[in-house]
Amino acid sequence: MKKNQQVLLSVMGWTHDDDDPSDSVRLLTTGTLSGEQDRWRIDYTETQPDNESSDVILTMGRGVVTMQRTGPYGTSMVFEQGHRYEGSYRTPFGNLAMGVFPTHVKYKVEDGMAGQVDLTYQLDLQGQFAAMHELRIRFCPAGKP
Amino acid sequence: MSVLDPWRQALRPLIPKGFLRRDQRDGLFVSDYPRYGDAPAVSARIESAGFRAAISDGLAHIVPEAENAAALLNAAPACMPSITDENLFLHSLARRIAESDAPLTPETEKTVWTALKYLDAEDMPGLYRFLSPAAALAQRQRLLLPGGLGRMILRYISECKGQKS
Repeated sequence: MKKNQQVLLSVMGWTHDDDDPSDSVRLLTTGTLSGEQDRWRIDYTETQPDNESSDVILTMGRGVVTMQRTGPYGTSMVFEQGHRYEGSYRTPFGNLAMGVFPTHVKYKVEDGMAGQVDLTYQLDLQGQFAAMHELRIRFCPAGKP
Repeated sequence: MSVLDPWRQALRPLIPKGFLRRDQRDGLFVSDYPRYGDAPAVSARIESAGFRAAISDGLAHIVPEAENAAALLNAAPACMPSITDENLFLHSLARRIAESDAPLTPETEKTVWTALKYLDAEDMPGLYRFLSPAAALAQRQRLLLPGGLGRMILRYISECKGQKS
């Protein structure tokens, strides 16, 4: 396993369904990238406007991306193209059954520890379609352009 | 007994000459009986037995009427086979569909016919490859697949342990 590499992350997310226009989130943060070959892990912290923060762990390997998020809205998601995964979405008011059906899963880590994660997925809550989500993460070693 | 055998057995005596197979197009069954004479009379017999036959290019594409389809789907007993590494994804998908109490509708019948044809052919990998995105699309369109389809798949899994999905 390579040593942890500090990375600068750009996280962009879009949410849309057939009826509503898309809603977007953009975030710049720092995190750590570790791993080698086709087994990678990124750790970073997301801070919301209300100063609530959650730790996010992304893993990538064998064509599968996983995301674990801590905090009051904690969740675990598995993204494998064409496979629906079930889990739960924690909220302060109770848990919701959640399903994730990815239609696009792509990641790349270059030799210089820069790379990207692109996900497009359909999210359902309690068996009902919630929205389509797109997530684009770009990262590069901290301190480099 | 294959899932389509009840309908196959109902149709076969009504078609005096010609083949009766799974349709590779939108129908459930296809027959070439129009090439052998009195097609209108055969079609009338098929329709009186609870099916629809659409003839094109000398072939009859046959599907059950809604009432006939509902009878087969509703007859599927509820069962919950054990989950294995091999059936995990199909089991999960079928269980979710089985929770629906929606009837078969014109919007969902093509999906149901195609799924039943995969099930009839005992092609579980093909069924999963087809049904997983089809169910996601139906969910996005706010369409509910009939629960009977999920129950039929679960019953098949319970009878055929070890089949890979």
